[in-house]
Amino acid sequence: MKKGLPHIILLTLLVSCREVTPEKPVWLNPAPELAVTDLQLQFRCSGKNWKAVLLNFTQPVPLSVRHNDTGITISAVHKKGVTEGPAQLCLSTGDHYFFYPVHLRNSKPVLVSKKDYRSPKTVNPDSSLYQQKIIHDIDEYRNLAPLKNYPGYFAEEEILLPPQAGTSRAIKAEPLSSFYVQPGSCTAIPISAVYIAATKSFSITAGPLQDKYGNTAANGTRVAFSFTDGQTSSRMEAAVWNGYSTISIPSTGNTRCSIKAMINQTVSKTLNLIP
Amino acid sequence: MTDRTYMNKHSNGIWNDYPGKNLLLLAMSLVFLTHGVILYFTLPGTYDAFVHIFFADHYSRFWFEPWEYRWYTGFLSTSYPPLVHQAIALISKVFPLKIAFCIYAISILQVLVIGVYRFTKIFFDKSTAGVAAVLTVILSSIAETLHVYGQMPTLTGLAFLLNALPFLYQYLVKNKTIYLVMTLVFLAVVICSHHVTAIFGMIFFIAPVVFMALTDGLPRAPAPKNIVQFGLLLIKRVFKKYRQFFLLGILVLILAIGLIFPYWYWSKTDPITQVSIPHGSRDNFFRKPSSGLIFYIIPLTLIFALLPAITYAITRQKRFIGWAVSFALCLLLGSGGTTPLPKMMLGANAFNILTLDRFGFWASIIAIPFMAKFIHSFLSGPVKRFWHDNFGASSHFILSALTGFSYLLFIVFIFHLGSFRPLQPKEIEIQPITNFLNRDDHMRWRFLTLGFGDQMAWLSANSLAASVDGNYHSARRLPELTTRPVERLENAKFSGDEGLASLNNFLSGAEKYSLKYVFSNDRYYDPLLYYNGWNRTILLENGIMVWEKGNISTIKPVEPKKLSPLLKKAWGIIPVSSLCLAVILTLFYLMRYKQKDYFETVPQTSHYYPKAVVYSSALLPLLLSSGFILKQVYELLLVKEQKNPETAVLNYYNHLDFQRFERAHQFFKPDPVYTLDQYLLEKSVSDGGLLPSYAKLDSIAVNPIPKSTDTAWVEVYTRWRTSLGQMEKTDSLQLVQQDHRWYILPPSFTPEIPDEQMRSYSYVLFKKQGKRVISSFPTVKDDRVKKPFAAFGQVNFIRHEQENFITGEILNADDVPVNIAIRVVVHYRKGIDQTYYPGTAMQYNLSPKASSFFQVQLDSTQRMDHLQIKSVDVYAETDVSERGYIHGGTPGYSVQTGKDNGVLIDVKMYNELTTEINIPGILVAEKDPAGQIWQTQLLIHNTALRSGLNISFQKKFKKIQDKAQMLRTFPITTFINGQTRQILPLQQDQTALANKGIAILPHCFMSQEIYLQ
Repeated sequence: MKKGLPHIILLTLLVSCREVTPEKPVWLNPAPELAVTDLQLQFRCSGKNWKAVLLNFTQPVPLSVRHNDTGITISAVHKKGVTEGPAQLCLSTGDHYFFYPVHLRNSKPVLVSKKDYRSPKTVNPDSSLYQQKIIHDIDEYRNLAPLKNYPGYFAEEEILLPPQAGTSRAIKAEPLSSFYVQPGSCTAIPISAVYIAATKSFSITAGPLQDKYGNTAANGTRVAFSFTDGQTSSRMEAAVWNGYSTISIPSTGNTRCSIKAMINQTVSKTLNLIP
Repeated sequence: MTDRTYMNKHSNGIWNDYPGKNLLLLAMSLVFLTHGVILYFTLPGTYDAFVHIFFADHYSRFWFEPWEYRWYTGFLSTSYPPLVHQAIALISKVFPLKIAFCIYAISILQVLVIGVYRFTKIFFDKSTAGVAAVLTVILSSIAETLHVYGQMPTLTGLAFLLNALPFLYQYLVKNKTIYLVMTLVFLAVVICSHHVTAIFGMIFFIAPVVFMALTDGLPRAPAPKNIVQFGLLLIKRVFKKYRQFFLLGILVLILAIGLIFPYWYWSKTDPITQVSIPHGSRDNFFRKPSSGLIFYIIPLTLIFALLPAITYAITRQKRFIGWAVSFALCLLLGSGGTTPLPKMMLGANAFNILTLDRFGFWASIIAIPFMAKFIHSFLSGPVKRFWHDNFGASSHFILSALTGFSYLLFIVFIFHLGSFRPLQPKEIEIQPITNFLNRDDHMRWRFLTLGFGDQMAWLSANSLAASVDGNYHSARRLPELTTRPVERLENAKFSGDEGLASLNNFLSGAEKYSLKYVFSNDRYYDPLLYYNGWNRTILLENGIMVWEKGNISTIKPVEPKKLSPLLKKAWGIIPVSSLCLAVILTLFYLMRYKQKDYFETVPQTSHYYPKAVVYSSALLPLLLSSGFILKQVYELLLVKEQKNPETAVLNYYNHLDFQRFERAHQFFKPDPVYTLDQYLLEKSVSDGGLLPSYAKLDSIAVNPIPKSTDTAWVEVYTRWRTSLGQMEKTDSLQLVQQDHRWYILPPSFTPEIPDEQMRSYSYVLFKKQGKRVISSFPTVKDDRVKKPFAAFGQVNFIRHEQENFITGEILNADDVPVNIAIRVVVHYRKGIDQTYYPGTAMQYNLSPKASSFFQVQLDSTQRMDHLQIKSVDVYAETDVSERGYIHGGTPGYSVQTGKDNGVLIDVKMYNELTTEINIPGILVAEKDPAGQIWQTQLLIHNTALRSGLNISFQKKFKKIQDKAQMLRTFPITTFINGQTRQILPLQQDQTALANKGIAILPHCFMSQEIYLQ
């Protein structure tokens, strides 16, 4: 016995040092929905060092835990809204975790903003002026809000945009919501020439360059001027600026020269240049 | 005797005690003081140092992962024995990489010096060994290997091999296990450091040591009467010691295979498919003296100078026969292609893969003991006494001093070889490049460097970005590289047509390897980049231009070559362990086993040299060293560059080729009117075109036509290699003789002068806003720019004899400038698909509403018919472009009919822009009366066109309509941004109709950065 006594004592100590698995805390005031900002959850449990966190599908929401004689009381750390929907309340102590499925909602009214998506963002009158519009309302915590003037959460419209070229905003205060109506292809290329005696050259102007709706051709549009004196064919390219494109070609003395302008597959009339 | 008396009685003989070891310590100190200081400055100019630093960086980052993705789309680092790189990687954990390399190099040099000392002791006495150690420090072959080549694995392998050889000798003579263990542990380090040294070291070093040990073990009496008896005695001895040889052989074989098994596994499973890459060490040194100088003369100068002494000593004793054979073989193999013998001996395959300079290097190492013996004798032995007796002490001193001084100058010349013959571009500051790669997700694409030299490896070592190029040719498997004898893409211009063709493949087919960025340090490649659709993006602070190609997809994941985890662990542990074991066992051996005179078995050798050997070996070093230096001085300062018209013209063009304009000007007749300023001004006006701003002189032929004794006409035919192909030019120059020098008369120069003093031109430039939301998060949906609209005007499949191509026209239908990438996918039967890309026959960037012809070259008729075409898809991807859409120039043209379906296009181009057009060019399309395009070509002119001026040139063009076919037997589907699109209705081209079916578009290169704001 005497020999075995130290072993008995050691064994007792070993057994007494083993960790006891805690029991799952009992939720004293369960509710089908939790308003995070007004959270006051009571649990009956034993032990200290309990921690709590709300796990929703966007981010973990930190909670504060207050220990009392019978258990713990849980409340929100930050009085902020959350993305509503299903979540898991996680209580942990040491390496032991316990989960409680919950449904989150925001108790206080929040700021709602409108979303207006347009597709395509760039519209060209050469193809189509139709644009699809999808709207929905969303609060500051990215929860969908019911639309005021439409049933449900989303509304879709097909809009026929006016053919005037320019930039518009779907939402006034948001530059990122801008959409664009481009000028279409030129329907015709008016071309004119003026002889400048001082420099012995012709100033050739193509313009005003407009599409079928009267929109001025986009700045930078490449105009190719082809001119020939019957022997040599030349090609000079110039960019459109404010609906006009101008080049200067030297006069070839008494030789007649003809010139035309082209943008893509649109060709102007042929102009004869007589000095 | 008192202490004072005792101490006074002893003479001060610091060099008398342990003379060999004193010289060894001197040599090791000299290593620190010379190579240790110089190496940091010569390192950036070496060929291979940065490659080994790159490998070291790999191990530093990914020790147990052999897959290196940064070069060639990935390769296995098990393709090179790892010890050297792993050792540098370990040191680099404390010091920066360059310093780590230097520390490692100096350590290995110390091991090498000790190795030479111990190696020489199996030949001669300790004093001679000490001289050999000092000789190692100043030997030109070692200086060149370290400071010019940067070949650390070669030096590491050699250092440990030389240390292994004395142990091997002792093992064979005394048959003690400790010597076997030490031999094997040092050979293990050799195997883990450099496979070539391990393989060839067996033949050239180990075999002679074995022979020497066998010979030393033969009984002294009775001496063999002839060579046959001697041979029989040796064979008997071999059989007597068969157990030793068998054990040694088996263990060495196990080590050789087992230590670097992943390397052998890689060699077997992924054999090298690279065609032979030319190397100067394989040249015929008579035909290419420059190769002979670098690979034979410089490393072996002292060997040739002391060849009489070496030859005499190495053939005096039977024990040296093995070394004599080895020495002669190495000298012969090191001579490269000068004789056909090396190729016959090695076989064509090995000859074309190996670099042969290593054999000359090994010859110089084998010769060290014999050189040291003579030098020792000359400085303090019988030869010195002979000289003193015959010519006096003063002449001996003067001869020694002059020889030493001239050899020192020779060594200094080697250190500065890069200054006299630039081997690398100037040092590039890489920080701006790494900053560029690190920002804006640029690392999601691959990059390429041009004109960096071996510094491209240094850039790779400092970045995690991937390149399509690399500097370890044995490991590359990209077919565009392996099927051509190209060293690296970044120096493609030095690899001739094959190099540029390979580079062209990568630049035109950049999408295949997700190659998006090119860092260019050499303007030579600018035209090739531009005409293959690359645009200048940004000029970095270090002067490097960044070129970018649009519509390139990000790097697709590449499946790394699999290696078993066990082999990966072995690769990471065993080599370093072998080095650690070698160090531990060496200490153990020194403390417990080293005998005092363990070389007592080495027979004594005679110090006698015949007079002829004494005179020749005493004088040749001075003659050769000083002769070499004097020749260099002569070439630099005294050579008569203008001694006759031909020489004058050749040297003039040589200076032009290397852009030494001040020197070139000195070839013109001195004239107060034709100053350097005038010359440079005229040059700047007439130059700037493809020749010579973007060309390298390939060959020159001068045909002098002497008119009188002091005047001459010369016709000069030059061929220039440009990145767009070869160009030939013929010039006529008049020369006059004055003061025994021939001078070129300045050609008459009448520049075209524009009327206006000021010119103006309106450019419309576009600016892409990029990310408008200031956030590090990926771009939000609302911030994305839509893909611009484009349309195909026509797409045709043309077959002309053995050539096939897709021609057509593409239009920018949008209001913004567009970068277009075209790709043709031909679907063959049997499920084979092949992708083709356009080359230079296309404008890749188009202004709003502009259009371009294009042509995409396909495979040969024979191949395509064999594979049987099923269908063809033509894809065009568009992206908004901010650059490259101004193609410059107003071309006017007329067409005259020529012979054999050819036409002559007379072009008169006017430069309406405010910038110089460096390369006037036109895109020519051959159209039929309906307007269908049959072929498209880029035609360029050699000289630049200044602003406001005109230039005329003629170009021949061969039409193919009459002989070619337009195939419509299979469907051609067109896609724009992934969606099928109809081709626009075909339109007639009235201008082409009026010009015999020829239509042109301006397609000029301007080096001035219009778009960079």
